[in-house]
Amino acid sequence: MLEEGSVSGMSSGASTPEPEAPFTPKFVVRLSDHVTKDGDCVKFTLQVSQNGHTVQVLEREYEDFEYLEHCVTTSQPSHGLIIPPMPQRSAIDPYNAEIQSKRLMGKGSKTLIPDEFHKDCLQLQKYLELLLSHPVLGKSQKLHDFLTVKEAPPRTKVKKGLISRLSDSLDARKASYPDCEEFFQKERDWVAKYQPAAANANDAFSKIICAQLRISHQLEQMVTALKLSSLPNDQVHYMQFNNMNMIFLDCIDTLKSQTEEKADKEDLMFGAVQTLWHRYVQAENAMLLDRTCLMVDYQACNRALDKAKPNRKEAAERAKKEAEQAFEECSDAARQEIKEFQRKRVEELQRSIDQYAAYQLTCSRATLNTLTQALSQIKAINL
Amino acid sequence: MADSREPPPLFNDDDDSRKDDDNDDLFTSAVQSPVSELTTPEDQTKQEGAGDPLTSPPPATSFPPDPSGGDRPDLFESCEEPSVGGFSSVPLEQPAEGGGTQQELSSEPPANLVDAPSVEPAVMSSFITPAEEASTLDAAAATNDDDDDATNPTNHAGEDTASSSEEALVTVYDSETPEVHSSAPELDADSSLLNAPSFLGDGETTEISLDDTAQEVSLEDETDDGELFDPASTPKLQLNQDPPLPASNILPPMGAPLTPPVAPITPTATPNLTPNVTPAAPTPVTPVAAARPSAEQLESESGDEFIEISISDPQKIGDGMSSYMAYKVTTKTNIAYFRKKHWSVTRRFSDFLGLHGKLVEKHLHSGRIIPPAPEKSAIGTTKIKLGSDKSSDSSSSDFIERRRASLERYMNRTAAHPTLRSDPDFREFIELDAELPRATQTSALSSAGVLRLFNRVGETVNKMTFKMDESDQWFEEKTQQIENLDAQLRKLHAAMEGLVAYRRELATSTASFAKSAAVLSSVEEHSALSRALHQLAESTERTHTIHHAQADADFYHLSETTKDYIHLIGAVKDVFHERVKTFQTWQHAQTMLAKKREAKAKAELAGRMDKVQQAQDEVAEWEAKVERSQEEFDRISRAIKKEMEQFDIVRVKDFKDMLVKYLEALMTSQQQIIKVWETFLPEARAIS
Repeated sequence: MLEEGSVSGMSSGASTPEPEAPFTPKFVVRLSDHVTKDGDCVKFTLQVSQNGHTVQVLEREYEDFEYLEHCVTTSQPSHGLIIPPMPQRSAIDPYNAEIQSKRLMGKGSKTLIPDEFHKDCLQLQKYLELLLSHPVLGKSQKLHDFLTVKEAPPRTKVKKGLISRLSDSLDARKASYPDCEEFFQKERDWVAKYQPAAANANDAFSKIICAQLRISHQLEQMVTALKLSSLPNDQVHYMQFNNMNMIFLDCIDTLKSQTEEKADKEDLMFGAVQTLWHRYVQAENAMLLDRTCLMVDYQACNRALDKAKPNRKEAAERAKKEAEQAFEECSDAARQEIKEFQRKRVEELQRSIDQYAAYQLTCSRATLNTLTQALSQIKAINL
Repeated sequence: MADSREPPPLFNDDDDSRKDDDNDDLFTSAVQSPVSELTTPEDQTKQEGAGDPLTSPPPATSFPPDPSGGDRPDLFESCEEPSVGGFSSVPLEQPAEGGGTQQELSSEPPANLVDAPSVEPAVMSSFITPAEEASTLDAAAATNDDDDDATNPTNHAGEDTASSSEEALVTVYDSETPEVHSSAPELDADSSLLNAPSFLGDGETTEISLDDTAQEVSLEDETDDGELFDPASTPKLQLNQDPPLPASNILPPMGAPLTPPVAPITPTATPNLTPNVTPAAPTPVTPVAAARPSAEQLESESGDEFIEISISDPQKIGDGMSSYMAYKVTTKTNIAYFRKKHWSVTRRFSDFLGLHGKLVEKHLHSGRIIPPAPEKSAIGTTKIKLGSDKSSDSSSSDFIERRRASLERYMNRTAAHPTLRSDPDFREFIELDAELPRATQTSALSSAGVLRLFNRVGETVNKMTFKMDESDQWFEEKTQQIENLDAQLRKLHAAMEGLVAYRRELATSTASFAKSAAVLSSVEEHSALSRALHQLAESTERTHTIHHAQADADFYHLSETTKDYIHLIGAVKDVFHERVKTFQTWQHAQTMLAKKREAKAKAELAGRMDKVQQAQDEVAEWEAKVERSQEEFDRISRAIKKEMEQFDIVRVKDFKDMLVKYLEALMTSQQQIIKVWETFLPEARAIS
């Protein structure tokens, strides 16, 4: 299906769980930090609870999630639904991890960024939350099975064939058709403008994160260099030097971990949210495209009906009715979806901005504190 | 130039040797110590070691004469020899001659004298020094004679200050050297010095001597003198004062022109003089002020001497490849042997290199660590030279600022070294208000540059191939330590460079995020979210500038200081290598001596008496050489130990300064960031 095609393979961000207003999710899922890695196979532990009671604890692999997504989106008509984006698979094998590290730390860097499963956990958790809180998808039996049956369902590798890709590209050409409804036209225009802007912002933000990671790495190097530069303790001023060196070294070390943590947290609380919603907007775009296709079909049917010869009139009439119905249903669903989607989006983005700013404050205060201490200690050393 | 150069010839040979000796003992306060003797001639001899702090203040006053390189040595001599007896003699003279005439006499000779060695010093020191220096017995007599001769001309100078200054200079040249030599051939150096002080002292010194019988008092008196002078001094004295003061003020500017006394200088000097004179006359206080710090110094310590050099206003002069950058070198100091407390001159980059070259030439062999000058960067300079001066593109203005900062650090490092800062070339460099002769040896592409390269290669090969068996454990440890330090500093520097680079990256990516957030906010349809994004964009934009400033702080406080130290370590290595070379000559002399002795023994065995005699001579010659080179080796070893001690102390201090400054910079940027987000939060919350 179209949605599936454009959505699978995209990743999403994560954010703190939050209750959904109109539709109450049936389950609450928490991915615990317990992650087992065996070669290429990474198993996440899911803790499923209902009404505050733990119903099931089960292990799932990333592939299971992929299959779940496939099932959920294909098992029912999904016209007019914005499918929550599936998080991207993080690099687990050394080769990809190296590529990833080089991207983050610069080409010459020899550091390998360790697995960051907590990020994956948060993102997958967020994904399940979004699915569960979705008024239509949240009711899917497949999803419920996924969360309650101990054994993971047997899965098949979902592959996108040549045909579906071809049809995708054909459909994409329809994106420029003018819409018959102003609401959708506006939404489509907005998505078209918003997507590149959001992509830019995401890139820029991830560069900030990168730079911070690199800074923390350099600070670490400084710490090692400083550690080596202690002098023999046989003279008064050497001892003073060593004392200052130690204080400075500790200070830099703290700064280093602070920077690292800051980069990490910023990424989670702002970057990931931005990315998630950027993806989500892409999903919305896919939905809108799907609707446009239906609209085009419907219009084609209308034309066919007008031109139809009397003997074909009936069939054309039927086809037109079907198309009209599909289009109307889709539009109705889409209108609801879009409103809900925008509400959620604004809410979460605003919160993330707020959190981000507050976190900046806490970080800077902590850093300032560290610095003040170090400075007063150093100043206390009289030469 | 002229000042330092002219006088130096007279004394230089002697002076240098003496300096070296002095330096070894007095390392830090070499200059000061002699002065101290002046203040308390009798006590000084006993106190010399402890007395330094006390003496140091007087040195300040007495020092002023030093500005010219030659003077300083003289002072030393004069202090040491005459001081004991001299003190008594001075008072004697003064009373005898009385207030007015004598003073005039004395004042005149200084003026004459001034021309060559130290114009300024005379002024400065006149208060104190006259008494002290007058102390030299010989000088006293000589000076009187000289004074008499000179008085007439000097009077003119004092009265006509502006116009006479030129004349005075001329007269000085004429009269000075011949007179001095003639009057006291033996004392010549001393006498000349004496004259200078006496000149200054005419008005003031007399008073001092009268008031103070006790040496201690003299210090206090000095300060008082200035104040007391106006009211207390007799009319005659005042007259005298006025001329001397202006003279002194004038002199400093004069000093520069004086050096090239020959022909061209005088014309240049006159213009300078006139402006200077005017300020001098209205402010007789200035000399007092100068004297005061010195008095305080007496009480406190030599450590109170400060000299602060700042480099500013980089300016491109000329066009194309022949253009160069000129910098304004501003000096603030309370060290008395400088003529003023605050002044500035203009120097071009190669002048700095030239200065470094001169200092290395003069002081490296005596085991001094000479702070290295900033490197010449062919690419950077060419860029600037070819770039039009109006377009200040960031990379070249960055480069200039970087260079300016490193020049400033270089100058201050050099100035912090007591021996180097009193070096005539250094003083000429910061004081001479005229263009220095081009330093031709500095260009990387010149023949001298190529030669230098060869020399360096040779040295390196020598360093690698010659392994000296170290007899001194201290040096063995130190060499190892220095090597380690070098490696660590390099590592540290690499990390710091990375830090700076990534901090810059952070700044630029923050800026681009701010931009894209602004775009996002313009696209956003939800008005509250749009405004929140807009706020976010503004805040990040502000943090961008903070990050940028932080990157600069990282660079200037951490990275550059560390780089300086890498270069300084290079200088230390050079000094160590200099010692190794000395050791080599000593070894060579020893092997030669052994050979000669062998030859002599052979000749004796062979019974060839004629050859024996010759061999005997050679043996004696090489024995002397061995002794000399051994002495040299011991001396340089001692000097290096002293230098290293000082180096370590300064290093620790610099390290602390660096940390404090850096941490403070970090704190400022954090505070700024806090402010940014503090203003952001309420606004963002108000929106939502």
